[in-house]
Parts: sequence; C-alpha cells; structure tokens
Amino acid sequence: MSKNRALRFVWTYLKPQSARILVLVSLLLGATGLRLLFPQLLRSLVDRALAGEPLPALLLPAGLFLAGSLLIQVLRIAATMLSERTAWAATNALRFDLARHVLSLDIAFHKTHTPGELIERVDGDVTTLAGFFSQFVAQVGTSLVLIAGVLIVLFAEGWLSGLVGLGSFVLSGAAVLSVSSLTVKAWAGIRASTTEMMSFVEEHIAGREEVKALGADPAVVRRLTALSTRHWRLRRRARFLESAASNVTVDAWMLGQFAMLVLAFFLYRGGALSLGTAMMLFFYVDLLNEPITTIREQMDELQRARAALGRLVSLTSVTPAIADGAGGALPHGPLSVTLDRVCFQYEAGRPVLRNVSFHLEPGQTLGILGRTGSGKSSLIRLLCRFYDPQAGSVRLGGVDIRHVPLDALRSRIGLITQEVGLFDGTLRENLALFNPDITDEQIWAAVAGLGLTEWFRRFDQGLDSRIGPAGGGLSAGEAQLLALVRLSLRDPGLIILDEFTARIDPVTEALLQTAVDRLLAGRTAVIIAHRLTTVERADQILVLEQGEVLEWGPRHQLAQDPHSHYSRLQRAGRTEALAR
Amino acid sequence: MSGYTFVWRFYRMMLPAALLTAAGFGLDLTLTALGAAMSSRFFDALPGGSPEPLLYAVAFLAANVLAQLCDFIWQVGVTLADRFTTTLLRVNMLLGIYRRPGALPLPVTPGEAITRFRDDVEESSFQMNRFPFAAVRVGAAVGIFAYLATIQPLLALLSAAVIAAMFLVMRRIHENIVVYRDQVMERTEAVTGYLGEIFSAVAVLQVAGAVPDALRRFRAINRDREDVSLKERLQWGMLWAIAENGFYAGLGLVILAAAPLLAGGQFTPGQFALFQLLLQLLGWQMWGMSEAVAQLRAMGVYQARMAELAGGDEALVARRELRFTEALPPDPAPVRRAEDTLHRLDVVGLTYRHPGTGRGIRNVSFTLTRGSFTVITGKIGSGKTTLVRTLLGLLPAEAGEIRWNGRRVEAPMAFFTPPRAAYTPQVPRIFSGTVRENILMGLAEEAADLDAAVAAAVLEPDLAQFPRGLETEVGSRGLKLSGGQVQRTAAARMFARWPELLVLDDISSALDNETEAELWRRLFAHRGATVLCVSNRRAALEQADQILLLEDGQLIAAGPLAELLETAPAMRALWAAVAPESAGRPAL
Repeated sequence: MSKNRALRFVWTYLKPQSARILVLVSLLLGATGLRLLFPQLLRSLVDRALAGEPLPALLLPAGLFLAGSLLIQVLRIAATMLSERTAWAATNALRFDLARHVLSLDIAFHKTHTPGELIERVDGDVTTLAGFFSQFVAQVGTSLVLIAGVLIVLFAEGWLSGLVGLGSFVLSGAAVLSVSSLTVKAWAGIRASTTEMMSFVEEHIAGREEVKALGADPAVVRRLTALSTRHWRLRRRARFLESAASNVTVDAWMLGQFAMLVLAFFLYRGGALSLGTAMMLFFYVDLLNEPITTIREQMDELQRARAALGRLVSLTSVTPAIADGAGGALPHGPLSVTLDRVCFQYEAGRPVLRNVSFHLEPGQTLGILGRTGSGKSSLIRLLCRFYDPQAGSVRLGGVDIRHVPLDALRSRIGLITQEVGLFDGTLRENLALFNPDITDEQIWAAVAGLGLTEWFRRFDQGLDSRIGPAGGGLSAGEAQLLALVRLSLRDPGLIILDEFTARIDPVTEALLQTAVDRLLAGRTAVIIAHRLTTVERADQILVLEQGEVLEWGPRHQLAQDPHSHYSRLQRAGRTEALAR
Repeated sequence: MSGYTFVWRFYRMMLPAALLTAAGFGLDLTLTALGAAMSSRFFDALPGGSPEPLLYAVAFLAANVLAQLCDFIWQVGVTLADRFTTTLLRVNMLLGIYRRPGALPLPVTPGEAITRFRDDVEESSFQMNRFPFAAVRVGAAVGIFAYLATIQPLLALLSAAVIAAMFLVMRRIHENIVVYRDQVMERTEAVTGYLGEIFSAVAVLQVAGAVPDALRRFRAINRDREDVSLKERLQWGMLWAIAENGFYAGLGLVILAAAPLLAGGQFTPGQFALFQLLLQLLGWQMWGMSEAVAQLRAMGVYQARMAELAGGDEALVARRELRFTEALPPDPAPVRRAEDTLHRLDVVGLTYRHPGTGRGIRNVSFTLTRGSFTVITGKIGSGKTTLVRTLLGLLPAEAGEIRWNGRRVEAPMAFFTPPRAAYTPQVPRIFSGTVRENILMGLAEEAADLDAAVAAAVLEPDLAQFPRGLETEVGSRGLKLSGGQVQRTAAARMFARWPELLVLDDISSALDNETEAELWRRLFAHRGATVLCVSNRRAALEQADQILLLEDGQLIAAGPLAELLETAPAMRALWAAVAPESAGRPAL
C-alpha cells in the first residue's frame, strides 16, 4: 500500500471532522502554554525565597501554579471528549462504508471470506484505527509545540542549555523513528492472526452440532490453543520491540537531564546562574519526557493503525467481479428469459455450462431437471448475475442483464434457495427484511395469500415473536415457508425456486401447491427440482447433463414422447427402486 | 463471583509470573526514587565548593538507566501471564460452548461470541496484568510518604490528605464506569452480531434488494454504541483528570505551604525539588492505582460475560494443562471397546419441548436392533429433527431414558460420538479448509479409511472433477461446493469414523434420485450398519424395517410400510403425497 493512498483514505474520514480537530488543537495548545509556565514559576519562587523577599511575594507564583494546574485539567477533559467524538464519528462512518462495500461484493468474494473474518475486518480493524483518529494529529501536534516551546526557553537562557535540550530531543527522536519501523510488520502479523483465530472460532461455534456429534471437540480445542499461542507469540514480539523503543528514548532523555545537571554545575560555580535558574533548567528537560513519550506512543499507535489501514484499503479496493450495469431498464410486468449460447466456468478448464440456450415467454414456468453437479445451480447464479458467463448472453425482458444496474436487476428477481438467512430479530423484521415501509397488513395479506394464516398462529406473539439466527425452534422446512412469505411481499417479475421444497414434507407441499400457483400466476418462474412432482406445474422442461442442454421443450409434449428423457425420468421416478 | 475473586483465582494459577512482574516493577520504582533523591542532593550540594554534585549527577544517571533495564524483567512476567490467561479463557469458553447441548441456541450469536473471544479476553487479560503493579504501587506510595515525612512531616501530611480526598471522589466515578462498561460491551456485541448475520446472508439480502435497509439498521446500531461509548469515555476522562489533578493540586498546595518554610530557611531548595520529583512519581502511581481499582470493577463485567459462554464462573477459571505448541498432533482413532458394539438401542418416553413455543416431542419410545434400517417420517413441524437431536443429547431431554444394550446412557451428547454413533444434520456445516480436513476433522489419517469413506458417500465422482481432489479448498462455509457436495462431504465425515449407529437427518434432500439410490445402496452394503434416518422419500420409506410416524411431536405409529398403510390413516395421506400413482398400496 502506498503511503499517499493510505493518507488520502484517512483524510476522507477526518475532513468532515476538521472543525472539531481545530478546536481540539487550540485546547491542547492552551494546556501546553500553561505547562511551559510552571518551571518559570518555580524559579521565581526559589530565587525570591533565597533573596529573603517577604511572604506575599512568594505566594504569588505559588498561587498561580495552583490555579494553572486546575485550569489544565478543565482543558484536558474538554479535549478528551472532543477527541473521542471525532474518533467515533470518523470510525462509524468508516464502518458503515465498509459494511456497504462488503455487502456489494459478489458471491465469489464471500465464498473465500468467512463472516468471522469480515466482522474482524469491518469492526476489529476499524477499532484499531480509533485511537489513531482521536489522538494522532492533536497529540503529536501539541507535543511538538511543547518541545519547541521548551527548546526556545532553553536557548533564551543561553546557547549551551539550548544545545543540551536540543541534543536530548534529537537523540530520543532518532531512537523513536529507528525502532518504530520495525514494529509495523509485527502489527500486521498480529492483525492477520487475530482474524484467522476469530474466523476459526466463529465457524466452529456455528458448527458445534457437528463438532459434538463427531466427537471432534478435543481436536478443535487443541487447534484453538495453537492459534492462541501463535497470536501470543506475535504479540510478544511486538511488545518487546515497543518496550525496547521506550527504553532507548527514556535513556536518551535521562542523558539530557544528566547533561543539564553537569552544565548547571559549571555555570552555577562560574556565577552565571542563580540556584532557581539551575533548577528551572533541570525541570524544563524533565518536561521534555512527556511529549517525547507521547510521540513514541502515538508512533506505536500509527504502526498499529498502518497495519489495520493497509488491510482496510485492500478490502475497499476489492472490486466486485461483476461490473454494475450502466443503466438499462427492465420492462414492467413479467419478464421473458433468454439464454443465448451461454458458456460458463468457475475455474479455467472446468466448464460448468456449455452452449446453453433457451427462451421462456413472460408468465411461463420453466422446470429444470438434472443430476447433482449438472450445472442447475450455476445457471441460477447467472440469472441473478452473481457471475457473468464467459461467452453468450443472459437477457431478461429482452435486455442483456449486464446493462442493468444490479440493484434494479435484483429488485425484479425473487430467489428462494435452501438457505433462508434468518436474522436475530422479530418475525416482522425477518419477513420485511428491515424494510420499514412494509406494513403489518401487507404481511398478513401475503400470509393469507399463501394460505399460511393457520400455520402462522403458532407464533404466540404474532409478528413480534422473536426469531433467532438458529431459527429458534423452526425447522429448516418451516424457515422455507418464511422465505416464501418474504418473496410474496415483493413484486418480482421473475421468480426462481431453487430446490426450495426439498425440506418441505409432501403433505405440506401439497397444501402449498395452490399458494405457489397463485404466486406464480402472471409471473415468469424458473424452478429447479430433484423431484419430478415439483416441476409438474411447469410449462416447459429443460434437462441438463454435464452442463449441456440434453432436452428442452413444452412439458406436455415431452411427457407424451416415450423416448424423451423427461418421460424416462418419470418412469424411473415411479419405481424409485432400491437394491438392498 | 466478584471481579476480585476472579482475578485472585487466576493469580493463584500463575503466581511465579506475578511475582516476577512485581519484583521487576518494585526494583524499577525503587531505583527511580533513588534517582530523584540523588538530584535533590545535587541541588543541596551545589552552593558548596566541593565537586560532590558531579558525583550525585552520575549516580542520578546510573539509577535511572538501571531502572529502565528493570522494564525487561516485568515484561517477561507480564508476557508469561498473558499467554496463560488469554489461552485459558478462550479454551474454557469454547469447552463451555461444547458442553451445552449442541442444538440449543447459544445465549449469543456466533458473531457476538467473537467479541467475547477477542475483546473480553484481551481486555480482561490486559487489565489483570495491572494488578501486580497496583500492589507494588501501594507499597511505593506508603514508602514515598514515609520518606517525605522524615524530611518535612507537615508537607508530607498535607499531600497525603489531598490525595486521600481525590481517592474518595474517584470511587464515585468508578460506580458509573462499571455501568457504562457493561452497556458498551453489549452494544459492541450488537454490532459484531449484526455484522455476522448480514455477512452470512449476503446473497439473500442482495437478491431481495434489502441491502440499503439492512445498512440503515447497521447505522442505528452503530450510533447506539457511539452514544454509550462517549458517556463512558467522559467518565474515564474525569477519572484521569482527577488522578492527574491529585498530583498537580497536591504539588500546588505543597508549593504554597512551602513558601514560608523556604523563606524561613527550614526547607532547602534541594528538598523542594525532591518533593516535586517524588510527588510526580506518586502522581503516576496514583493514576495506575486508580485505573486498577476501576478495572477491578469492570473485570466483573468481562467475567460475567465470559462465564455465560463457559457455563459458569467455576468453569471459566477451571485449571487446565495447556500445551503451548503451534504444531498439532492428530487425534488417534477412537478406541472401540466391546461394550461399544450396538446390539440394541431402547428409547423410552423421550420428551423435549422447545422453550417459548412449547412444541417438540412427547413420550416417544422405540427400539433399534443391530443392522436395522429405521426411518422417522411425518409432516413439517411434527418433531422429526427434534427427536433425533434429543436422542443424541443435542437437545436436553426433559424426560425419558435411552438404553444402549440395556445399559442406561447418562450423558447422551458425550456418549453418541464415534465409535458408537455419528450424525449428519439436516443442514450440514462445512468448515474452511480442504475436503480432506473437513472429512478428518482432527482424526489421524491412518485411523480413517478415507477412500472407503469417500466412496461410501458417493463423493468420488466429484473429487475426480476437482483438479486438486481431496486437497480442494471448500471456501468459507463450504460455499464453493454445491448443496449435494456439502451433504455428501458431511456424510463422508461420518463414514470415515464407521460408527455402530449412523444417524442421518434428511441426507437426500439435496441429492437427485440416482445419487441418492447409490448412496443407500453403498450404505447397506456395509455390513452391520444400524441406520436411523429422517426422510420423506419414497425409496427410504419402502426399504425401512421400521417407520416411526410422528405427528405433533407424538409417535402415532411404528412398523414397516405395508403395516402402517393398513393401520394408520396419516401414513396413507403421506404416502399419497409421496407416491401419488401408487396411492394406497406399497409398490413392492
């Protein structure tokens, strides 16, 4: 990742906060000015006391010191709040943009990135940036001002004391810079190992039923121990590096204090300094420790942030393999479906679909049959444009879907697969998919339309019943019923049912038959099925084998032709004999 | 368990690390204080004529450099403690999750659990590491006050009073912090949990055009977290300000009170410098202590959240032998003892009701004999999956008994594992990794007949298609595989262990007829296999030695197909739907 790119990325999120940052900097500058005053007050106190001045003359600097220290605290609290606000505003904007980006990425991306990993990147990495956003500019800026102030005062007292201060600062600064570059790599490794561990944990918690039933829990626990140990090893390395950096800077500063003591000794003995001034010089160098430490800590923060930032920039630069359509529009109403010599493969040399062509008139239903792995699911993925074919075209309503914006395309397609995707929330939220415009009346009408009113009575609290991601006592088949309601709440021009009845028992399926018929009336539909009963409502039948169209035609015609594959499958289905 | 007890239990397990930390830090502070004393001597000796001050300056430097080196001592202690705490907490939480019946929902989503495995573990471990420091700081504070009292009792007393007052104010703020900490963690979890859900269902959201609505909700959840976090930060800001103020205000008062003493010559400038340096040191210790005290309370929050997953406080702090190695030895084959061989499995009066809905299974009894093929069937929601899960202990039975060869099974979830039983759920889970890793799941390669398992699951045609065969990466949650391939990989996982009892929940739902027929054929070819499966498929029903027909959670009929078709109207209705063309008569 280039530095410029990372900086531009950060600036995008800090720019809206620039007013806050300005106020923050002025607050911190105020506090810095007060700090610079303190050693002066001490000198005046000591010198006045040794000169035997009366008590009121001594109380003035002492009182000022007390007042100043209280004022600093007020400024500090205000600055803390301001920097936290800045950080939260910036990081939440970033989290939102990242989530939006990730949700826009295609299925190919999600196949290679677990939800656990993505959570870690959208939330974990951004949280790492929070400290950087809230502190870095303000803290480093004011620390530099404090250091400059100290150096100016020291030079004003004499070029020798100025040089000692400058030397101390340069020495520790060099130490900070030389070590901090070492820690970048360490932090990048730590972030990656956290992600790996969390992705592992998420998967193996979600899959605990299998882990338990296979007795694999000891193996999983051992693997977790190993991942945790590796994470610790990486953290240990980073920590020792940081610790070494801290040591070197503090030692450089100590050397500065020592030099100042020696200088004060000779100047005082030479009569060039008062005792108060000698002490003041010492305390000014003492004052240097804090800004140098702050800068060092912020540099560590920067390294951590850079590691996270690199990962974030690389996440945002993943572009969907699917380019958004330029703006073609789909016609209203039911859509025709046309596949024109479509060839498709996930990996080079392994074609999944070969030269597939068919045409479906608006309002008709197509049933697709084929063995597992024949390319049925891939064909569906092309229709939803989760992938683009390598050759040929997919047209809905006569429009090549590559020209239609993805949102517009997908809003016209209703897809039901075996994976329903339930969220932790109410039944209402799960059915309306967080769309606040869908009213309860609409939901109940959809439920009634599918003839599920009776079945919905089992939810004691109606639409307010809570549904967990695990389904909360809903079987996989019941979750499918929810998906059906979800779909009928929208008005798609093409409905795709991908083996959706696989988990619905035959009796319920028979009951659903009329409801699905009503849903499909006047709409184009593509139905994938392993079972022949599922496609009996189809107008046309397409049989796929090894990615090629084996047969395509009107269902009645194929059923009557004793030599067609469809009728052969029908006969096989009737016996379904098993040799035992 | 209070945060205090929690921390104490941990420290009992890692005393050497804690002592090392405390010793290193104690030495560090002592040397730093010594350095301050040397600089004080320097200023006091300056007005004299001797070169003595230069010696003090050298001593000042030496003490401080040595103090810095002590950092490395306590770093080692902290690092050792860190390895132990983070790993033990994570392992205990995961074991706790695995102790719960596997099909019961967790109190949190997997995404939320991540927050606990990440933030709660790292935060609590980090905070726990502070306590040896806090103990040393208390000692150091007492020592510094005692030392200052020997120099100027009045001023020492004054600074002590100021600092004690500050502590009282801090206590009040601590109360607020605990409340907010709990809320912040809760909101953080809401964020990660929600992200987990939307990322798991990204295809559903995309195709439903629901992404903007889902994002709007995300924004609201984020804002909630921001609000609470800012409130918490304000408390922390005040706490820090007061801790720091304790030092500055104390210093201000000391300066004010010292002015007349300085004027009267009862207090030397060097002593004045010493008070400043030591009070500054004291201020830092105050800060550290106040944070530790506040964190001790916040620790109760982390501990309660982690204990929820671990299954109780004791389980969370349970001592374990941890082997900190990154190399993984594979599992040996499960030992097969004589009593593991299945002759007869009796289920009597098994009952489980889902909390909330009250649905489930009631009083189900049946018997499986060696080599038999039993099919559980019934309408949607009739309790088929619940029955299988309750039998396997993945749901906790409310009543009933399970007997393996006549002997009562006390802990079914632990018992029904290989070599006795294995299970393929309705929607199998595949983990990131290769097909091979997914089948083995930690099992040693030589303990499993991989080829036989692959063949039995009818997976070899698919593997032949994959260029990398068994080494094919399956992708996140097995998304690179088709639904049927996932089902068959899960089945191969089961066959690799060749258990006595095979339990399959609707294995064939993603398989076409031919593949399914092949799978059954190979399954029955395996001698002695006892099979219990959930299915509504004709092939399975016709082949069953015994059909268990469920309705509304009750077993309403059991027996072979022909018998049930005669005696059970519900079976006739089901059969009419499964095999319409042969309604009313078995096709045998």
